Amino acid sequence: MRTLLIFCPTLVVADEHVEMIRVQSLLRRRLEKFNTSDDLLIVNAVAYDGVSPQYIDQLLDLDFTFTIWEHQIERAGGCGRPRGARRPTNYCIDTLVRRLPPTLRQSDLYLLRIIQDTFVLDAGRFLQEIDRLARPQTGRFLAGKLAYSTIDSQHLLAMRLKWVSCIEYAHGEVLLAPAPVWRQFYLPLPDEITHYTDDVLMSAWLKQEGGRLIDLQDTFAHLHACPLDRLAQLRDLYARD
Amino acid sequence: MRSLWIIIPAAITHERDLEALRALSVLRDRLRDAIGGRDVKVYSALAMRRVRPRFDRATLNLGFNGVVWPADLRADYGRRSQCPVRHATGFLIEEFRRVLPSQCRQGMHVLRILQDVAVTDVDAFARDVREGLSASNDFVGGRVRPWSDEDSKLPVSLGLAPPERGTPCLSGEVLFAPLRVWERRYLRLPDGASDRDAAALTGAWVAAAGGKLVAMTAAWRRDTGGPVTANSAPVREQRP
Repeated sequence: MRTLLIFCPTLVVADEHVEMIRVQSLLRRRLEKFNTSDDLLIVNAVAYDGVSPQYIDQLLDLDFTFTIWEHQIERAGGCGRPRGARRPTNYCIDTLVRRLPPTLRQSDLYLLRIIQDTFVLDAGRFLQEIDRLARPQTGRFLAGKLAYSTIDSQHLLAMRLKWVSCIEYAHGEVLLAPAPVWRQFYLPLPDEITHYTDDVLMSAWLKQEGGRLIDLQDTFAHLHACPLDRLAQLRDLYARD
Repeated sequence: MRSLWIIIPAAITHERDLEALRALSVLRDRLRDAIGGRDVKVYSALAMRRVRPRFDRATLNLGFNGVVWPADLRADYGRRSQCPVRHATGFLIEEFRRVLPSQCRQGMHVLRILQDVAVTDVDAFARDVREGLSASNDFVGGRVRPWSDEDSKLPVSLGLAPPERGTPCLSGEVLFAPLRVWERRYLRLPDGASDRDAAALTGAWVAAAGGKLVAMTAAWRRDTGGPVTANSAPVREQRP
């Protein structure tokens, strides 16, 4: 059996953030409609890195298999100190995976991280691609939109990796990898690696260790500062599919 | 804004347990229709003490607003009662304080239902719940019973003054109270007290302090075993 665990590291301090995560909460059921593989189980999680008190009651009705609150992230050992998406990502890779029900934990587990302002536009093609990649024969891989960075090379030396002037990487807005790849190449990243560079360094490290970067098809969009009316359209799209 | 949280401590070792939880997950929506509205929000939370591996998949996405998994309970950072039902109940009550800001906890009520309780008449049940929600003072709702000789050893063993024989107290299959009562009474009982003892003492002490016991007896029944079909009738009745 294969398990796809979709997780969203989330910060909720504005009305738009509530709507973003409301849309994200619909993704699991939306993808299930396109799931034709009997052996692929889809579950989802939200990991709140911070929530302004006035928004909490709006988050209680959202449909996530696992909901992780900030106090859980803070209390869990080994989550590290970095703020931003790294802290909840660490929690999901480490603590959440260890606490999954045994059937899921013992399956071929794939983690799909989606940043809260990134949205799947073509759910059918998106799942088709994930279903194709999330298989043992794909080996050690990291999938996302591939891009290049020329500004993060100094971190390579700090991590004792081979220096290259231009790093090919999978952009962190949507990242798919087997659970062991996350554990080996994300969890040990130094604290000073923020969520702006975690994708670059994880990609570079994996590649230097012989893993593969895979370009995901263009089925999603990263919508910075997405306004409420656009989010309402996305919610309709997610609910309609 | 008032809120009502239905909380269920559960162990899932049989198909019957799953079916009972599916029914109880629907109860939230039925109560939303019956008592919810602009001034009362209804939520539900499940604390799974134990799940047989073959039921793992079925426990995903049961439709509760909050879920505590067995691994969370095992890693509990709060107080740890020796009684599994009390431990799970106490964990959920404490989780409210950890997650919800104070403005959400004001006016909050908690209705604890054991997993083998089937609500057979939602409208009548909702009337009992409404009576509690409208109470201005402390109250505890449930099945009222007299304090018995069988109960009386507990307070003594805990170094507490025992209620007099015949004092009204509660059994714990259904236990309904404002959050503050759960926090001040139920949670503060020693870890050695069982859930049955804790329910009885909570009821007796609230009554002794001038609070009200709300009798909630007509609209539910407890099915403590038997084949799956024994519980299926109330399950169907609970479903819309």
